[in-house]
This record gives sequence, C-alpha cells and structure tokens, in this order.
Amino acid sequence: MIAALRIGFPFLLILGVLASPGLAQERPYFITYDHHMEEPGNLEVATNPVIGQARGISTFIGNWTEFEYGAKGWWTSEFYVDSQHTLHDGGLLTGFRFENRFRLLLGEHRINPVVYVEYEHINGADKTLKEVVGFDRKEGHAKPNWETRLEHEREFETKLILSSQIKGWNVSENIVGVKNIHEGVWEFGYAFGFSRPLALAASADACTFCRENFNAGLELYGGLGEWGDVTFKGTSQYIAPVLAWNLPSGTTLRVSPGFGLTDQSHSTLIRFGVSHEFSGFGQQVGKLFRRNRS
Amino acid sequence: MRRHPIQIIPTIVLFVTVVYAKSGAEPSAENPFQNSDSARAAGQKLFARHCAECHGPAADGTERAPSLREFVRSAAPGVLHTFIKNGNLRSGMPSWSRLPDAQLWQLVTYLQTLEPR
Repeated sequence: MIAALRIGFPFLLILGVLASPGLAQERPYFITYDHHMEEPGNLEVATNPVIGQARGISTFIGNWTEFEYGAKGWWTSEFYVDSQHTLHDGGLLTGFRFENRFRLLLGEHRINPVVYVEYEHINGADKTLKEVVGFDRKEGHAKPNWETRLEHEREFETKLILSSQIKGWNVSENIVGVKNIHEGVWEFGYAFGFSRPLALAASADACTFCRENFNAGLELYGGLGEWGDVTFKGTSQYIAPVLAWNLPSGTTLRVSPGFGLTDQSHSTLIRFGVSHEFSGFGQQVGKLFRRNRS
Repeated sequence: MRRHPIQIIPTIVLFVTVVYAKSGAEPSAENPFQNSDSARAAGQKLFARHCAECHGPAADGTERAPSLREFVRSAAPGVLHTFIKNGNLRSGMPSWSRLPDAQLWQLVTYLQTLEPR
C-alpha cells in the first residue's frame, strides 16, 4: 500500500498542479480497448492501481502508469511502467510495455477495427493483470517476489479490437494473442465491454456532477487457452462493472470492482484509475526543438 | 465434421459488409435541436470542452486548426454532424464518435449560430 501511495501521490500532485482544461471523454474500461484514439498531439498520463485478493494469496496492489500519445488521428502510441506491492513481501518495479494501436478504417463504420501490437519486458512478479490470457491463474501470484522477479518475460502481444457506437452505447470486443519471444506457444484471451454515458444530451450549465460526465458499463475478460487447446476450461474469467467520471478540468476518475468467475480467478480485483490529458503536448515539444535550432 | 474452407466465405462477406456499413446521420438529416436556446448553450459548453483547444475559444482558429466560422454557416446540419462524428483522421481532425448523437447535434446547433468574421 505504501509503495502504491509513494508512486501515486506525487503523480496526483503533479496532475493537480498542471491541470488545465483538456479534451477528456475517456472510456470507462480498464481492460477492453475501443476504437477511439488519442487526439493527435495530446498526451494522456494515467495511473491504474489494482487491488487483488484471493484465498491463500497475500493481498497485492499492482499498478501501471501509462503515457498515451496521439501520433496521428489513426495511430496512438503508449508506454507503460508496471509496479506492484504485496502485503508482507514488499514492492518493486516489474517492467515496461510499449504499445501501438492503428485504426484500419478512417471513417466511422458499424464495426471499427483497430490493430494493437505491443512489446512487453516484464518479470514474473508483475501483478497488473492488464490482460488475462492462456491458463493464467491466481496461483501464479502466490510465489514470493524474490523468486518471481528472476523470471524475465519478453512478450509480443497482439489484439484485434472491434468497436461500435450504437445509440449512445459503446460495444467493444478484443481478441488477444500473446507469445513469449523465446519460448512457448501463443496464448489467447478476450475482453468484451459495453458502456454508455448516464445522459446522452449535455446540460446547458457548466457542471461537475452532471449525468453526462459519468459513463457506466460492464467488462468481461479472461483467458481462452493456448495454441492447440483453445478452451474456457481451467482459465481465469472476470466480470467487472466500470464507472468513469470525466471532470471538466480534463481529469478522469475511474473505478471497477471485478469478480472472479472461476476457481482459477482471483476472488476480487478492485481497480482505480486517474488520468489527465495534456492538450497540444506534441506541438509544445515541437516548438522547444524549433526554438533551440534557431 | 470439418467445414470446407469455401464455406466460411459467406461469413467473411457478411463481416466485411457489416464493417463497411457507414454509420452516422444522413447529410440531409434535420437537426432535432434546431433553434433551441438550451441546446445552443449546451453546444457552447461542449465546444469549450472538446473543440476550443484546437479551433480557439471563439472558433476563430489557431495554429493547430482552422477557423470554423465561414464553413459552419454554409454547411447543412447533417453534413456538419457527419463531419464531426467522422473527423478527418488524415488531416488531424479527430473523430468525435465517442460523443452521443444528441451532443453532436447540440454542437451543430451552437456552431451554426456563429457569425462569420
């Protein structure tokens, strides 16, 4: 807990100091991706702690801090830094991930496909549970950190994201494939989410607590086995209501209590998220370089 | 029983058709909030929140994006709605399909009250 506060508090402080009106209308999902990309030139910084609990396993807080940049209208790039703290076992940084998402069709369609590619370099102590694939199970988090931190994983991850906007609802499906670069077979997983703002029309007054600022939905995610053995049997599965609150300042707060559906799952995964969008970040950095050149 | 690969072609055709089906208002669609003062006020709030960073607080344009004042007066409401929803991803205008249709129409209502300069 202390490690999470150490990481989270300075971050929140920086957000508070730098907060300026931004373009926030963020998805409420933690695991599922939709087809909405970061606006070009904008940088979104977020921290997403998850508290995990299961019988026979020390309670832990995993956290990923992400930096999401809109490179183009159709291309978003993200860098993640993962960390965790386990009760009675201490905390550590567990690795990084670099991800790119590409929108395949430029216009808005009934179904909008997005391709996601990621390289991750994490160790076995990672407890962010950002994606659940293969036969991932809670027992994998029972070993002490000194042991799991020695297991290095270099993985390549792909996702096919299919997302639709239907009468104010967002419906998104992700099919996930993960492959350890050096060994093993492809592991598969999925995420499915739907959400909707609590009010479709905006109110005329400036307000923080208006219903249109809240977005609620549900996520389902879990493993689908591996190459040659695609199945739900023996996999972790989760269901998680999600709620996002988009503040007019450009900050978004999110919460999601998740519940394990199978014996292999953690019994509860409670996720929190704070994100803030910095508008025109790319242009400001570009100006700095141009000024230095002249 | 194994399916012959050719049997999945109708499924692929159906999927591609669904994917390619455009969504959004018809260019000739009427604005359900036309001349509504509350929709104009809501649209102004949405503009300040989502659009002013690039187009400027008075929609006069900035170095990031052009002025909207000339364009929006002459455009049909349905065209404007479709344009905001789809954006122009090649040129850097983001898609605002994440906003519900009602909010897009409120934005259109506000934009069409702007006077050209």
